[in-house]
Parts: sequence; C-alpha cells; structure tokens
Amino acid sequence: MRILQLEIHDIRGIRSLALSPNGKNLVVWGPNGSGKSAVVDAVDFLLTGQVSRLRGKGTGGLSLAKHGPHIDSTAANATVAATLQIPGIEAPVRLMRCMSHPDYLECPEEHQAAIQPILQVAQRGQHVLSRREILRFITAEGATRADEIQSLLSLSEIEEVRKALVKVRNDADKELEAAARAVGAAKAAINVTLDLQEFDPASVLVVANRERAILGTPPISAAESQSLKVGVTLPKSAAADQSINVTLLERDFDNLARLLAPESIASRLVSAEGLASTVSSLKADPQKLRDVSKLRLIEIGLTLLDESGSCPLCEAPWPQGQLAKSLELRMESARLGAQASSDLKTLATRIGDDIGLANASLPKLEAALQSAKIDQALPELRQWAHELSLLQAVLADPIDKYDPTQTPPTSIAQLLAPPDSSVALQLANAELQRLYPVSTPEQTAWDTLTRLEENLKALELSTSSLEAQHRLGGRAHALHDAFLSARDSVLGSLYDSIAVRFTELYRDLHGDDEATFAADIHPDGAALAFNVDFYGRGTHPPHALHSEGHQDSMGLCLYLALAERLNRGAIDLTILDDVVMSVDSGHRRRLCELLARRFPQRQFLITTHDKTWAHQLRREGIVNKEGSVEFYNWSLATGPHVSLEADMWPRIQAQLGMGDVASAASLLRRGSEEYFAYACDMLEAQVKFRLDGRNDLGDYLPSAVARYRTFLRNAKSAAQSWSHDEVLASLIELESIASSVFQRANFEQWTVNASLHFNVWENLTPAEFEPVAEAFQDLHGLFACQQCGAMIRLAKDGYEPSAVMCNCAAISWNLRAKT
Amino acid sequence: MHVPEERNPSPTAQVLDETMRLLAQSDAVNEQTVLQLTALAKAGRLSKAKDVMAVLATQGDDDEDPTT
Repeated sequence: MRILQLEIHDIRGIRSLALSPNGKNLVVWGPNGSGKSAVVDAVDFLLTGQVSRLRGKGTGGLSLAKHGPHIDSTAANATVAATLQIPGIEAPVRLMRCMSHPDYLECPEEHQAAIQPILQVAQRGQHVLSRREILRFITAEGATRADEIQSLLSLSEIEEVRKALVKVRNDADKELEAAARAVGAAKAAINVTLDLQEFDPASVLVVANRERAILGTPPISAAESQSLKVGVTLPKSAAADQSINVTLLERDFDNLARLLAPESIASRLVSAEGLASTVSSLKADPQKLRDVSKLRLIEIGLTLLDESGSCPLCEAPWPQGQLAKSLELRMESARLGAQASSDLKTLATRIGDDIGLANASLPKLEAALQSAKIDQALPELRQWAHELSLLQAVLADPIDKYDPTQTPPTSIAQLLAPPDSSVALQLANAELQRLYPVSTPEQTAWDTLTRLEENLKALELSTSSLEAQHRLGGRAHALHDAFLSARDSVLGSLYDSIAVRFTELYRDLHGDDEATFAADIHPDGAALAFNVDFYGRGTHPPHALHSEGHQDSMGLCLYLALAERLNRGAIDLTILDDVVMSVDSGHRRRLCELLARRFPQRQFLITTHDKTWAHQLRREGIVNKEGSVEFYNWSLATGPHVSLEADMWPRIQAQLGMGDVASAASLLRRGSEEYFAYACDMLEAQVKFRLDGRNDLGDYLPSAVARYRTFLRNAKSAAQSWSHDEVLASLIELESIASSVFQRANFEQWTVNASLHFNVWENLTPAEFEPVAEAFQDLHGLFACQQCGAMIRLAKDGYEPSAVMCNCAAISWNLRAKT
Repeated sequence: MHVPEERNPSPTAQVLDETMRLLAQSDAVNEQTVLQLTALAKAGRLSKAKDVMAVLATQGDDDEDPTT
C-alpha cells in the first residue's frame, strides 16, 4: 500500500491539509510544534481508527474523542481521507475515516477484502517507528526486549498457543493421575470384597473360582466382569430380594476397623505430618518451586556463562563469579524443590490409598444401613464420606489447596478416622447382625460374585480410562514438544535472517567504520538475547559500549529489518517519525543512500524538525521537490503553513512581482548557500576553511562550479579515450550549456567587481534581479538529475574518483580514461 | 499498477505448519488427528485448550493406540 494523496481536516494540530506524495517518499519538516506528528497521527487514525500516542502507558485521561480532533473543532469534522495504491488493484482506492465513527472505514465494497490484510498489519503498528520507540529494541532488558520485538513480529499468538498447549499437557497429566487413582480405588474395592491384603489378578481369580465352585459352576480362566457369572444361577437357598449380606458386610466393617486401628492412625499421622511440613516448606520458599520449573534453564545458563560474568540470558552485568554462585544456589534450591515435590506426591498417594480403602466400604455400609432403616450411625458415616471426598480433592493439589495452618496433621488423621466412627460402626454392625440372619455360603458366594462383578466393571472401566488417558497424555506431550521444537526452529531462523539483514543495513550505514560488525539475535527461554560486535573486541549488549548515536542507528536498522519482513506485500509505507536525532550528518547521508538502495520499493513518510536532514533527503534524491514539505508558522487558528520546496522559484517570482527584491534576494541567497554547500560536499570540492564555520555563497559556489568543470573535462577525456563518441558529444553539449549558465549567473565576477556580488542583489530593481534568479535556477539544475531529482555526487574507487552520478544513473560520467 | 511483493508467511503460520509436520512424524498421533489439528490451527483455535483437548481425545474413539 502506498499513499497517493492525503487529506486531513481538523485532526490534532492541523486544520486543513492536502498532500500529494503520489506513492513516492515524503518528508515533512519544520520546528517543534509545527504539526508534523499530526500527519503521522492522521495516517495512523485512517488505518487503525486509533491514534497511538493517545493510547497506552502514560496516556491516562487522554481519549480519541476528546483529544483526537482539533481543539476548536468536533469529532464530526475531524476526517482523514487518502487515495491509496493497493497491491493487486489497478485503480487507486479512496479510504476515509471520521473521528465521530472511528470504527467505520469508508471503503468501496469491492475492495474491502483487499484492504483487510493492510488494516491487520496497521493495527499492529509495524509501519510506524517513532523516536520514543527506537531504543526499546536496544536498551530494554532481555525479557522486555523479547516482548517488544515479539509484539512487533506479532508473535503473541505463538505464546498464546504455547500456553494453551501447556495447559492441555498439564490437564492430560492431571487426568492421567486421576485415572491412576481410580484404578487404585477399584483395586482397593476388590481387595475389600474378597478380603485380600494386596491386589493380585491371580488371587482374584482363585477367590472368584472358589465362590463359583460353591455355586456349582466350573472355574473360569480370567477374572473379568463379563465372564465372572457366566453359568452361575441364583441358588434356590438364596433369597433374590435379600439386599443385605451381613457376612459380606462384615468385610467392610473389618476394612474400616483396620483404618481406625491405632497403628494405622499413627502411621497416617506420620504421613500427614510429612505432608504438612513439606507443603509448609514449599510455601515458605516459593522460589523453590519456580526453580523446579526452570531447573533445565538454570543448568543451561550455567554452561553459557563466559568470562564477562554477565547473564547469558538477559545480559544484565554481574560482578565476576557472582552469577555462577547465584545460579548454583538456585540449582540446589531447584533440586531440593524437585525432591520435595516428589515426596509430596508419595505422601499424598499414601494418604489417598487409605481414602480409597474407606471409599470402598463406606458407600456399601451406607446403602445397607439405609435399606435396613438403621438411622443411628448413618449421619456419622455420611459425614465421614463427605469429609473424605473433600480431603481427596485437597490431596490432588496439595500445594494450592492444603493449608497446614488451617488443617494440621492431626486433623487429617482425624478426617480418616473420626473419633465417633468406631462407636457408630460397632452400633451399626450389632444392629445389622440383630436384624439379619447369617447368610448361607451360597448366598454369600452369589453376593460376593455380584459385588465382585461390579468391582471388576469399575476396574475394567478405570483401566480402560487409564490407557486412554495415557494415550491422550502421549498425544498432548507430542503436540507440545512438536510445537516447542517448531517454534525454536522457526523463530531461530527468523531471528537469524533478521540478524543478517540488520547487520547488512548497519554495515551500510557505518561503512568502513563498522566493516566487521556482526550481530547475534536468538531466543533464549522467555528472553531474547541480542549481542553485537564492538570493533572486534567481542560481542556485547548493544547499549553496553556503543554511543547513543550508534544505538539510534542500530534501533533504526533493526526496525527496518523487522518491518521489511513483516509488512512486505501489505503496507509498503514506512513512517519514520523524527528518528535521527542523535545520528550525525555523515551517517544521515549514508542513511539516505541506504533508504534509496536497500528499500527502493518502499514509500517512506519521514518527519523531522531538522532542516539539514530534510535537505539531505532532498539532495540525495530520497524525496523529490513535491515530496519535500515544510511546516512553519503554526497557529491554533490555522494549523501549519505549508511550503513545498518546489515553491522556491515561484515564491521568488511572487516577491519580485510585489517589488520586494530584498526578500527575493534573501531567499535566493539562503537557498543557494545551502544548495551549493551541499554540492561541495557531494563533489568533494575544496572550500576555504573558516574557524568560525561561517562560509557563505561566495565560498561554496565557485568551488562547486570549479569541481563541476574539472569532472566534466575529465569525463570528456575518458569518453574520448574509450571512443565513446555519443557520450563525448553529449558531454560537449552539456559543457556548452553549463558555460552559458555560468556566464549568465555572473558569479565569476564577484571577486573582481564588488558591484556584481550577491551582497548587492537586494539593491537591484526587479527587472535587474529577474535574470539573475533565472540564471541561478538553471545553475541549480546543472547539479541535479532531472529524472530522480537527486544531486550529482562523486563516486570513488578507493581514493580515486571513478564517476559522477545521480541515484538513478541517468547521470553517469565515467572519469577513468582508458590506459 | 503497483506489482505486489510476495508476502512472507507470518512466523505464527510457519511455526504451526512446522508443528504439524513434526507431529505427523510422531507415532503418538494419527493422520486424522493431525488433519483436525491443522484445521484448528487454520481457524486460529489452537490457542483454545478445550478445542485442542477435544481433538486429541477423539483419536482414542476411532483407532487403537498406535504405540502398542
């Protein structure tokens, strides 16, 4: 996307402004407070419906509705419209947005789909680099820098996916643990039903076949719920409707009695004390658990430490040896944390097993008592079961859910063996024995098989669920691991390519001074490591040794490398909002070359308060006459006054028309002084040295012209030596034109005749000054390419002048003769 | 007319593509699940843990454990 035309009404400090960059670069320059940044705000608003500088940190109390429109206007009058060139669409597309409806973008229906990718990129703000943002990539801490760059790269979605996949993996692990607990509980229930000490499929089969034998049925080969009662019929002696088998229930009473035995309680108390002390110690030192999750990172960090002693991850400086010591301490802490975490799991499982045993019997007894209408013990048993279920939930996540100060170890022991439960159980058992006769062996065998069938179903189901959870866990881990591996590989290569481009741009910008410059950018855990070479003295964080100016140019190059990659094909517009404050003049010129050579396809909208930089952009051909816009004399009522460089000659004419020769002469003198100072620089012309630096047009112009003549003469000789007749003819023609222009400008008489000096221009009449102005306009034209608008410059091969050329090579004088 | 430059696939899209490529090589996940996860990724829903879990859980319904 490129901007062809831009119309701004009542936005921020602008009342009414129309610019026509025609898809080409545009520089808006002027003093602070002249409304330059309002142009950036307007483009921002058009593309996003927001003004970035009114949002985010430090903008409390600011709002688009109140502070977006011009202070004396209303949101309904605040509009931005632009004619854009959109990739893939032949005709220009006109967009418009009004601050009274910031969410609505007026766009032709047929182009809505094409504009969406552009708006999405714009929403991320990747097309604008402002002065306040430039250093955020350079000086931020590793983790913050990672956030900044990842935000620019729109990597937040990757982080969102990572979080989701970690959650999926953790949930799968938790469900696996729950499934394993369910299997344990099902086995405990079988042990109680069959009065076994330890679960063992062979023992289960033996007992199952023993019960089948009692009922006169042949043995089975495997204890499975489906086959357990195959061939078994209800014995005639058994009562089909007898729901309570006291012989079988006796096993439940015995099971619970074992849990209530003093030695069980004592052993459980030991586990509960261990649980409480481990949880307390982990809660008192939360770093331990955090270190557990970072154990691997800490180990890697230790291996990456170098002699500088600074942190290999976030680059923070540390006193020699201190970081290694700190990391070793944290690794020890992590190991202790890992051990504590493992102990916690063992202790919770041990207590959980007892809960499983209790749960195997309590529901059976509860059902029997309810059926027998024995109410005395029922409330205690229900309360017991309820509290056990609460305890079970706590044990599933003891660090988060268990508070030893609220529930001390003795309370845990009591939850598993409530003081009143023994009496309640004895009462219940006695009452059941009184009400129900002892069951026959056949009845007990039938009831045992029936209950075992139910237990086996639960075991089969929980085992199947465990296997499913195991597979699910495998998939969740595989997905998570594949994602991390892909992320590291893709981002590693992305950062590598950005580092390569960044290095290339930075070397271009600094030339021989940084010919061996190298940079390394790579993700490191949650941080982003960014190190640059410092004149062959090793790599260091960019803000460690480089000057502020170098850091500025690093920020700019890194942004350009990032933005180029991200915006390609969507927004070919890059806005540089006052970003070269601490870059010196020489490097600014190289920046011009870099923008012209490395980014010929991009449209730059550059704002600056620096007139010299604005003129450099113009002279270097980054912007043409129409693309150089000066803002001046801003007032609340009018907004900025706008002056196009293209206006200079018409303005001189206008002043002459009003008879104001002094103003016209002043304009010509100031403009020419600046122009030929630059020409001297571009052609490496010698200028008289003045300690106070106050050179004037009389110093610059003759030197620039002398240099021009010399190179033109050399170019003719070279063309002749190569027998390039056409080139020679065109150079001879140019020489003739140039001579005539030089003569008309009459500057060569300045040294011999004071009355012809530019100092006396203001005393001329309009009629006398007009030919002078015309001659100087032609003189300016000799030093610039009529096609690309750039000023001609000297190209060298080492120390030897090799050519005089412009940016587009329409002017290209070869200076090297055939030897 | 301005000729559009070729757009780089977003880093996110590249990561997701590479994830699915690696996942397809894993024994733990079958082709159908990879396809479902790819569709989920394209719909921008891989960041929804519930949706991902639902896809991973369905694999068990229609095939055997590929690791056994």
